Amino acid sequence: MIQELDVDGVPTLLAPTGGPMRAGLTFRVGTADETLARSGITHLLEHLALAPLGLADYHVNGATAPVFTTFHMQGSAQDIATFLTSVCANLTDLPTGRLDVEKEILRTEHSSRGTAAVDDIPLWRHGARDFGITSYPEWGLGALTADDLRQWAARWFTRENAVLWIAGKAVPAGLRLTLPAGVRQPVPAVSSALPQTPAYFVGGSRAVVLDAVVRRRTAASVFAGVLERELYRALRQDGGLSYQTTAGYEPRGDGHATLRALADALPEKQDAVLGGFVDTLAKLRVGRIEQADLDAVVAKREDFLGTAEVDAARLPSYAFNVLTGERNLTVDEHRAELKAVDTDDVHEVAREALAGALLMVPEGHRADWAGFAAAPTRSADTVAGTAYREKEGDGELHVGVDGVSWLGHGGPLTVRYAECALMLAWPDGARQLIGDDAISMRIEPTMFDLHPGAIRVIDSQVPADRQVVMPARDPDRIPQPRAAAAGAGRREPVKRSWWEIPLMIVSGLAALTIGGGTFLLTLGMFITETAESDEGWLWGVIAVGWLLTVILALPIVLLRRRRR
Amino acid sequence: MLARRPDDAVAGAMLGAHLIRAGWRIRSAYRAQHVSREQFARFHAHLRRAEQVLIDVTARHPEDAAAWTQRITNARGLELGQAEARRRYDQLAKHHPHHLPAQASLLQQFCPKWSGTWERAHGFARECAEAAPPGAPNAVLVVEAHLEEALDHDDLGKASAHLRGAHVRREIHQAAQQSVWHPGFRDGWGWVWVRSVFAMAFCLLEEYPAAARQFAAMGRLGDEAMFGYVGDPTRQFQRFRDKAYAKGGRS
Repeated sequence: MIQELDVDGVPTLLAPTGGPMRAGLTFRVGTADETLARSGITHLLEHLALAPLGLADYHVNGATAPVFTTFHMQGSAQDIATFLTSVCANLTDLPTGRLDVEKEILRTEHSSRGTAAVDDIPLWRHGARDFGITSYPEWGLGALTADDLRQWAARWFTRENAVLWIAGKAVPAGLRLTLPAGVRQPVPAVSSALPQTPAYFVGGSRAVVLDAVVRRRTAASVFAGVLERELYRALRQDGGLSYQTTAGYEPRGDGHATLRALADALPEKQDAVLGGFVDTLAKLRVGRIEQADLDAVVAKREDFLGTAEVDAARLPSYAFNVLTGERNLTVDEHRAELKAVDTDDVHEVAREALAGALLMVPEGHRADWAGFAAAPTRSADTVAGTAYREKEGDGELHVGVDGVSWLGHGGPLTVRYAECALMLAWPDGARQLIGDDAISMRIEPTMFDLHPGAIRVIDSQVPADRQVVMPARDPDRIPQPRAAAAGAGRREPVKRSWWEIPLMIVSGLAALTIGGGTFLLTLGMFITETAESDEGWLWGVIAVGWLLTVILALPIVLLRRRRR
Repeated sequence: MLARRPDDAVAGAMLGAHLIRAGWRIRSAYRAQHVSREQFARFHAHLRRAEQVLIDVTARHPEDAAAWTQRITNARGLELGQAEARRRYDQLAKHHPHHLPAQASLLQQFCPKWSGTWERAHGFARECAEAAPPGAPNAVLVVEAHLEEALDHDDLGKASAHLRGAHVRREIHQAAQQSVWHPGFRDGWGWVWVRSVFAMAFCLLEEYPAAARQFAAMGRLGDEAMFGYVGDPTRQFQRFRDKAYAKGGRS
C-alpha cells in the first residue's frame, strides 16, 4: 500500500521496504520547460542545490529529465532528513558563489558524456524546442546569472510543484521542506518537426532505432515487451545479426508514452538488421501477435506485481503521475488491466505506433523503400533578401528582413528571425542560426563575399534573448576558401634542382644525334634500293632509333612542364 | 483485388511482381550510365510500391515463396545490400530449402555486377547444389555462376577458354551428374531454362554431343537463359543449337 501524506505542504508518498531506506524529492520541471537559448538552467540549479552538501560518499544523486527533476538519497532516516532539508534550503537560498565552478563542471560533464545512439531522436521529432532540447548541448549555461536562477527556482521549485516519496517505515523526524508557494505546472505542449509519418532519418550510429508515440495504456506497455521479444528472435536468435535488441516504454506525462526499440548491428550486417527490423514491425502491424509472447510479457509483469517490494519500487513512477495529474492504479487494478490485454489490443497499439513512427537508420541507408518518408533536412521555402555569393561553389546566402536563406549544396535552408530558437555568435563574425524546426545554418564570413553590414543586420534582427556568445575560436578552426590557399601557393617560386639544366642539355643533344641518324636512315630507305633480305633488318633499326629519340626527348618535355 | 482482400497472398505477390517488372521496363536493360535520371526515379518509385505490397504479404504469410522470391529480386533493384538479400533468402529457405527461383535470384546479387564477389557467387551455387536431393535441378546454379564469370569476358573465345579450364569443366560435369544427367532428373519447374543453361555451357566447352542431347530433350522449346549475354537471345539460341546439332549429331 502506498500512503499519501503531507510534509510542509508537499504531497508525500510512503511505502514499506525490506531494503535500505530511500527517498526522492521530485519537481515537475525539466529540459522540456526550457528554451534552447537558456538550456541547462534546470540542470545547473540541480547541481547548485547539491553542491554545498559535499556528500560524495553517500548514495545521493540528482537527475534532470525532460519533464521532471529529482533529488534522491539512500541512507538512514537521519541522513535523509538532513539531505532533503538542505536541498530545499539551498533551492530557496541559492549558493550562487559556486555558479561559475558548477557551470564548468557541467561543461565537462557534457564533453565527457559519450553520445548514445538515441540522443539525436528528440530533435528530429520535435525540433529545437520543448521535448527536442535534450538533444542539444547546454548552450544557455554561459549567460545565466544568479538572478536568472533565482527566478527559475521561484517558478518551478515550489511545494505545489513537488512530490516527496519515501521507501521506509515513516517520514524521518526533523525533515523540513522549506519551499516557497507556487502552482502545479502543467506538462509543456509537444511540438512536432515531422510533416509526415512514418518517417526516417540517417543517424550517426550503427543501430536501427524506432521511436514512436502512443496513447498511454497498459496494452502499450505490453506491446513494448512483445516487440522486444520479436526483435530478439528475428535479429539475434534467428539471424545472429544483432547483439543488443531492446524495447522500452516511458510515459511522457501528457497522456501519451514514448516507445523506443533499438537493435545494434555489425558493420557488414547493417542492411540486414534494418530489413529484419522493418519486417518485425510489419509482422506486428498486420496483426500477427504471438499469444505466447503476450502471455510471457504479462506473466513477467504479474511476477513483479506479486513481489513484496512492488510498492516501494513503483514510488518514482507514482510520484510522476501525481505531478503530471495522471491516474495511479492500485496493484490489483494493474493486475486486472494486464489480464484484460488481448492480441487485438496489442495489434491496435502496433498500428498506432507504426503510423507515427520515426525510424533511425545507419549511415548509408534509407527506409523510403519500406514506406518511411525522409524527415526534413532542408526547408520548404526561402526568404528574399540581399544575395551574397559563396567564394567557391555556386551557393548563395540571402540575408533578408524576415530571415536568412542558404541556396546551395544541401539546401535550401531557411531560418526566420521570428522562428529562430538560437543564434550562436563567435567573435570572428561567424554565426550559427538554429530554427525552431531544428534547421541549422552556419554562416562563415570568410567563405562569402559578404558585406560587413550583413552580419550586423542578422544580429539586430534575431531577438537578443536568443543569442549566445561563444568563446573565440582557434584561427586554425576558422575555415578558409581553398582558392585563397591555393592562390598563396601559386605565388611561391617553383624550386629548381641544379641538375635540371644539364639534364635537359644532355638529353637534348642525345635526342638530336639519334633522331638525326634515324631520320637520314629513313630517308635513305625510301630513296635507295636495298636487297630484300636487308630491308627487314634496317626497318627494325629505324623503329628502334625513333623509339630511342622519343625516350631521350621525354625529360625535356617533363621538365619544361614542371617549370611552367 | 488486393484492396478487397488485403490478406490474399497470391494477389499481393502478383501485384508486387507486376510492379517490379513494370519498373524494370522503365529502367530498360541498359547499363546504368545510359539510363536517364527521370527513368531511374520512376523505376525506383515502382520498386518501392512493389516492396511495400510485398512487405505486407510476407508479414502475413511468411511461408509464401513467390513473395519472398520477388523481395530477393527487389532487394537488388533497390540496392538494399548483400546481407539483406541473404536475410530474405534465409527467411524463404526456412520453409522452402531448395527453392530454385529464389536461389537463382540471390546468385545474381552475389555476382560482382551487383557488388558481390565471384567467391561468394560460386560458394552459394555450390552450397545450393550440395544441399539439393540427387536429380534435383539446383546444380544448374554452379553452371550459371561459371557462365556468369566466363561471359564477363566480352569475347566468346575467352569465355570458352575460361570454361575449358580443368577445374571449371570438372565442376560443370559434376553439376550435370547431379541434375540433368541423373536418372532421377525430371522435367519439373524451369526445366527448359535448366537444360538451356547446360546446353550453352556444353557448346562453349565444345562438347557438342552433350549440348545436342540437351537441345534435343527440349524439342521445339528453349529458354533465352543467358543467350542474351552474347547477342539477340532467340537468334543466339538457334545459332548455338544449329552448331550443336551439326557438330554433335542429332540423337
